[in-house]
Parts: sequence; C-alpha cells; structure tokens
Amino acid sequence: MDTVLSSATPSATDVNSFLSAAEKEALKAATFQRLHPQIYLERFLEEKIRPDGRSIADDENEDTHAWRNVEVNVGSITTTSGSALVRLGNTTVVCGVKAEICEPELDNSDEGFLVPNVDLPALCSPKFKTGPPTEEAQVLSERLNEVLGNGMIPLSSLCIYPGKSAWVLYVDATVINYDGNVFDAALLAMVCALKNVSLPHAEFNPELNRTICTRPKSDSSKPARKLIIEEDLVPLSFSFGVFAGSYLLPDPTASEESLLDTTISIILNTRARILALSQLGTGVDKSEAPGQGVADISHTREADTLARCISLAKKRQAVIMKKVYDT
Amino acid sequence: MQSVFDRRRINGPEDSSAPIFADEHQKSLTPDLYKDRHNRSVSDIRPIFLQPGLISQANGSAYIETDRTKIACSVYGPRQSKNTAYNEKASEGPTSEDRSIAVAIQQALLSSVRLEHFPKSTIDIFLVIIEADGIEGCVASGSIAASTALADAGIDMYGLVTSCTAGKISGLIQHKKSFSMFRRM
Repeated sequence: MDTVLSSATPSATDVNSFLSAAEKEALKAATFQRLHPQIYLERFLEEKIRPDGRSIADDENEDTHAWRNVEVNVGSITTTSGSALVRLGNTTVVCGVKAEICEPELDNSDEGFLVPNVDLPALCSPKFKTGPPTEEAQVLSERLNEVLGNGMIPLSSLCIYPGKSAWVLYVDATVINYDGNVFDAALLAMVCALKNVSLPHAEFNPELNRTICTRPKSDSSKPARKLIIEEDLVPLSFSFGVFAGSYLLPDPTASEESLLDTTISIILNTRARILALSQLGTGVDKSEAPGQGVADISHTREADTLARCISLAKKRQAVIMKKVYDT
Repeated sequence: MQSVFDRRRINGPEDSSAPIFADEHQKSLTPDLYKDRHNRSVSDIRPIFLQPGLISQANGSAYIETDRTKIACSVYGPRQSKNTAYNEKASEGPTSEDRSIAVAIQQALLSSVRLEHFPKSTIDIFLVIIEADGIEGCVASGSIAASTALADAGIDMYGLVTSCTAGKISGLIQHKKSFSMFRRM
C-alpha cells in the first residue's frame, strides 16, 4: 500500500507531513476504498460490520441497528398544499404536493389524478449531470407511481364535479443528498406529504363553467379538508441489498449500492401486511452446492432470504410507524 | 400550468390550472401593516439560517433559509474539464433551467474565486430552490449559499460573497422583500 501511494504522488510526503497519524490512516483507508471498493466492503463484512458501523442482518443479529436513523419533517414549504422532508441517514428527499384543477377524463369522469415524479438533480450526487431525467430517475418514478397508484388515495375523492372538474395532485420529490436507498426515502416522503395535504374548499359553478375555491381561513362554512386516505393501502417500503450472493444488507448506502448484485424491496401497509414485493437480480448465490440438487437448495435459500427480508421489514415497520404517525 | 407530454416523466392530464380563489383582493401594504404582518420593521432583514456541510455526497454544500426562501446548494469540483483543450483558468459552470438566476449568481461569485489555481478544471455549483419567495430573494440567498458551499469545499477564494435585495414602496426603501410586496410595486 505504501509503495502504491508514494509512487503515484511524488509530493505525498509533503502532504502527509501535515497530517496526524490518525488522519494518515484515514487517508489510506479512503484511497483503498476508491481503488478496491469490493475488497474494502468484503473486509468489513467478514467482521460482521458495515463501513458506516451498522450491523449486517445475519441470523444472530436481527435487531434494528441495521437500519439508518429516520427523520421526518412535514409542512415546512408554504408554496405547496402539502410537503415533507425525509432523511434516511444521509439520504435526503424533499417532497411537495401541488394541487391544481383540471377536467377529468371522459371514461373516468368522476376521478381526479395523482401524478408522482422523482427528480434526481445534479446537486445530489456526483454521478448525475444536469439534463432530462436519467434512466434511474425514470425507473424510480415509475415504481413509485405503481406503488402509490394502488388506491391509497381513492381518485373519486378528488372529484369536484363529475365530468367537469377534478383535482390533480402533482407529487414531486427532489433528492437533495443521494446516499443510497432513495426509493424508500422518496416513498416515505410522498406518503407523509400526501398526509399533510390540505385542499381548499372547491365549488364548480355550472353557469360560469368555472371552479372557485375558498381560501382556508376566510370562510368558516367552507373549510379546507385533508385528503381521504385508505389507511390499509398506505405503503411503506423496506429495501435490502445482497452482496456477493451471501450478505444481506438492509438499507444500503450509495457506496454499498454500487456493489450489490441484487436489490429486494418489501412494501408493507400500516398493519404490516405485504402490499408488494420486488426482487431485482438473482438473489442468493446458486453455485454454493454443486451436484446435490442445486435447484432445490437454491430455491430454499432464495425463499429463506425473502422470508428473512419480510420478517426484518415487519420489525422495522413498527419503528417507522411511530415516526410517521407521531409527526 | 400547461403540461407538455414528457415521455420521461409520469404525466398528468393535458391541461390543468392553479386554483382560483374567491377573494383575490388584498390590501396594499403600508409600513405599519408590514411590521405587523412580518414581525419586523421595514428596514430590517429577514432572519437567516445558514448551514454548510449537509450534503455528504458533494465536495461542499450549504443550505440557506431566509424566512420563506429555502435553497440548497452543492459544489462539485474542481473537476477535469472535458471539452477544453487548453484553458488557463478554471470555469465555473452554473447550468440550470432558470438562467437569469444562474447568471446573476455566477456574476456575483466569479470575482471571489481564485480560478487561476485550477487550470483546465471546472467547478460546478448546483442550486435547488426548494421554496421561493421572489426571484430577487433567490438570487440573494443563492449567492450566499453558493459562496458558503465553495468555502465548505475548500476552494481557494479571495473572500465570501454576501448579498441583499432592497426595493422601494411609495418612496420608502425596504430590505429583503418578499414576493407579495413586489406585486404591488
């Protein structure tokens, strides 16, 4: 390691003379992580710990120290109808809901619209550049659209006047700091923002063919209302990564995410029942048991992994429920 | 808001508009009313919250809140410039959709950074305006955030940039105005 460093940077000795011993070690470790990220992570996982100090989810250790701290703050953006800021460790997502008025579709004349979108601006990570939404942003938006479109907000509750006037909710999440597991953070932000939404009282006037709203505090007979939410369909997501086919890492950070071969997401409702499961990647390593009915063993191991993810997610869900419903 | 069909995003209905409220009329703001509503007098500036280092992925970052303007800024760089064959100084590239704010902030920061220390490099400054209370307020708060983020990134500078906006209503000069005041000027 020392020869690598000293040959690459002739002036390294000059720089190093300003650093303490601890800083020099930290610099070596950081350089090693840059040059050999996979081995760096392996070394940690062999000691049953992750680079940021969290535990891995192995059999003895099914506690909640495997997850990062969650912070939720709602209602701070006054230009929106509802907003939320979520921090999952360092991953920060801010979400705002804009309510606008539109005409419903012809074949769904008594339904409004829910339009979620995630933006990954260049600000949140060095891997993004300015420009149109990248593939990753599009995939995230699509996945969130599927999960939110499940019926959490009954679209008929957004109707103002059938066939003429309905609410459209633009739910826009922007990632401020990308440190892995953006899907979980963005979904939580969207759910909290939607719960925070306050719609003004709206009346459609058929003679004028216009919808007139009333400002919340100006007329007490026409108060603003919260959204009607189907509590059993409120989604909460818990994502895991599988590293090297054997280590299960809940809530991966950005540096871990780039090394994962598989991502598993478990989406639960408020009563810890499963709403959706997704697995991207082959999951558990199949090459572990050669010759001996490989398919059977790998099937059980895959089923085990999924079952473990589900049980870990349910445990974590109880903690998140306190955060979401106590804000 | 007219939504153009963008195949890279989830699209809503073709056409939607902001809600129209029954009572649009608002009283004009005299200095006394301003003081009552905003809890400060006409010549005070808004309280500021400025915090560097919140965006761990960036080389340097800052988050600023001035009452209702909330801006996050991150700095990446110096990065290698891809398209310059030989460039004596670094270039600062603020790229954004709202060019007027970006250009104004770049002009403010350009003379404070020692670009001659970063040949053939680019320093990227990205701003996300989370909540805006007037364009001028964005430029002012954005410049402060950008300068703080540059300092947080360890970029060589001559000094920090600070900024403030002021406007006139009925002959009186007021500082750090909000959007509702600009509509009445």
